[in-house]
Amino acid sequence: MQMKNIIKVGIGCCLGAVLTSCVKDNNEYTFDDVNLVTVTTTDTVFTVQQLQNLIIKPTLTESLSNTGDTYAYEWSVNTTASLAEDEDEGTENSNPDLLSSEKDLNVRITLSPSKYTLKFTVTNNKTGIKAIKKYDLIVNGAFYEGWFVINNKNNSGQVSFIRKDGEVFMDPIKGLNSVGLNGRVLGAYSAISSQMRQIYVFTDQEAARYSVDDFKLSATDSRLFNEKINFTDPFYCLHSMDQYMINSGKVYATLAPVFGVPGRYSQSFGGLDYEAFPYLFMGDEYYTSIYDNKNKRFVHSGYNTRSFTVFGSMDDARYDLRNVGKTLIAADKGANDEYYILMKDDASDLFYYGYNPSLASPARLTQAIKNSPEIKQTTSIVASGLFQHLYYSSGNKIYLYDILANSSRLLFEFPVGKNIATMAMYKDERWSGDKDPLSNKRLVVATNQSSEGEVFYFDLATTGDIAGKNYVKSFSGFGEIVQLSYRSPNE
Amino acid sequence: MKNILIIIGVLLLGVACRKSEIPLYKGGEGLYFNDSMGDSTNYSFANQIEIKTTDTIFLKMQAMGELASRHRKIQLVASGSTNATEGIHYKLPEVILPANHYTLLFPVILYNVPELKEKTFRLELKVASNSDFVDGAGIKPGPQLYIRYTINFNNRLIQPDYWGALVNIFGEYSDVKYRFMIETLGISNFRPDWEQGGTVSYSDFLNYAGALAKALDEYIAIHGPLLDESGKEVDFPL
Repeated sequence: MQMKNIIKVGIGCCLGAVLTSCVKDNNEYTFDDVNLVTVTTTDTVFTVQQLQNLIIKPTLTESLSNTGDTYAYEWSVNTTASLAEDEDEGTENSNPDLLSSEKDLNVRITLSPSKYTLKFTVTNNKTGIKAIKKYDLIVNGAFYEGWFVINNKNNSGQVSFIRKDGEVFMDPIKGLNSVGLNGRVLGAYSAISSQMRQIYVFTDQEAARYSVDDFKLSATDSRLFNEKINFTDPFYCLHSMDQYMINSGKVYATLAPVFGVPGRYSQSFGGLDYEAFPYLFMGDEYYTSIYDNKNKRFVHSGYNTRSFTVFGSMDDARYDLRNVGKTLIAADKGANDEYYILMKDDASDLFYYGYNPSLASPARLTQAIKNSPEIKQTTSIVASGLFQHLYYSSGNKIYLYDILANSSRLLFEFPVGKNIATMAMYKDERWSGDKDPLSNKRLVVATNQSSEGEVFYFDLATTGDIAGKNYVKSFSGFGEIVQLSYRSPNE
Repeated sequence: MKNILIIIGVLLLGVACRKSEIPLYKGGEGLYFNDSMGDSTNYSFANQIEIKTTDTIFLKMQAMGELASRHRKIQLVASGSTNATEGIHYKLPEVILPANHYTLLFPVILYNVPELKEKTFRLELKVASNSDFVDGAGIKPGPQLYIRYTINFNNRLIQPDYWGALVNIFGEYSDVKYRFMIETLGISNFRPDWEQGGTVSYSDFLNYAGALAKALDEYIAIHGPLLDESGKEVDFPL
């Protein structure tokens, strides 16, 4: 009987559960407004130069007043290419870097030059509701164009930079890598092409390659060379399909990225016994040539070739390339692809040689140099890319050697004690666009007085003389300057 | 009675449905040669940097079927067109495939006997059937897995199959030139990275060409011209 009652009660409970489990929805709800934030800024695309502060002050508008809500802020950046791509995919496609947790953004940008997506997130601390705004951020390189001033300060090398707009960076390598150069700097050379933006820096301890946009270290000599090289007088240049490096009379090469993935530099070139002057001649007819100071001759090499060949005989040559018989002391590229060269004989008398490897017969004008004071003391020259003019220095003086007149004249004299370390001619070597009006009309001169270096800009008149007989700009604060090198803009 | 029927009905509902077990496929076990370059290889003692009296070729092998929780024995045997003699030209050790593993490198030991200078020997291998691999090789399941594998070997320099791609860099092939390259550079595999399995980049080739030209100049300065087996002077075009 008791069992019968338990069963009845159980069945009754089940029936009750079935009857009450489903209830019809009558769609009657209660809604409460939530506080939403709208973010407004002056623009949706922001451009900033690397190493400068990015300042953005957004205006926040709440949909409800007097709520007492508080907010958390986050500014972040990622390397996605465009805002549109993010929205299409609906997800972030890289890990963002946090820039700030303040409402107003004011941070120094050290990002590499590129295009980024900047994101501003406002989070309501009570409701958790976020307002998100995304912007395009363009970071321009801080070192887009200008002069590298290679100098040693307190026995430590640095590659200073005078930007085209006049801003000076004393030691950007140390500033961006936290560690400076190892040893005394000997030279620095940039290589700019559509596939390459690099700068090679050579010290008496090592070689290193950096990105020329932001000085990020990309390789040291253990990755660049198959052998340990002790650098003494390094020279580097990019020529079309190959990259060359000369040191202690030996030439090394690797591919330029236009022709393939560059590997390590080769062994020193063979084919001949030679001792290369640290300068490379480049031409259309003879791709690459050097001057062999050991055997007093020019020798040449083809593209992607790692050995030298002696020139053949040429009937119309002004001099015998195979037997010049003199020691090369200075060279620079002049007008119409011709190189202007100073050589000396065994008696230390100086001679001018013109050499144009873009011609079938490269040996051009040659003459004993006359009427040129103090030219025997010079160790560097600068060639005009417009005229047959060659600038040389001696002590604190700048001279102009007029090749056709075969005579020189004094252009400028610094105060006694301020000696000229090196000179360079500004040459706009971009492949496209109008040439800078100052190309081949600005002579840049570096001086050293004790251990203090200065750089001077001299503008040139059409006669080749210094316009206004004085410099137009100067920059100081460097250590002992050893070289000037121009950083062309990216292609 | 009615109540009892209701109770029985509820109880039957509880046991009426049961999830069915889906049986999984269980195939046999097999052992295959795994090589992305094909079902054979050529080996020359003379092509090596150092000439040895014995050398080992490691063949990558892959087992199919369930992983075993025990060690399994693997035995290869010569078959088909083999003209090499075990114990004289080669040795096939017994190898263990460790528990819970399905790949291994099988060592085939080759002996550099004098007749290899005159003749190329052929060793065609297959998996022997045993208690661990009853089916032996089994049925070939897909690409790059082979039931049989052939090793052709000798002690003569063999012109690499990729030489045609390098003629502009190293010039025409000769045994003397190839041996000179191996001794100078310390490598024997110059397969370019634009071919499958290759590792040498164009940049490397330029560096090699320069180094070889230099080494040849030094050789000539001491010994005079280097002549190949046909009497032609060895040179490098780059």
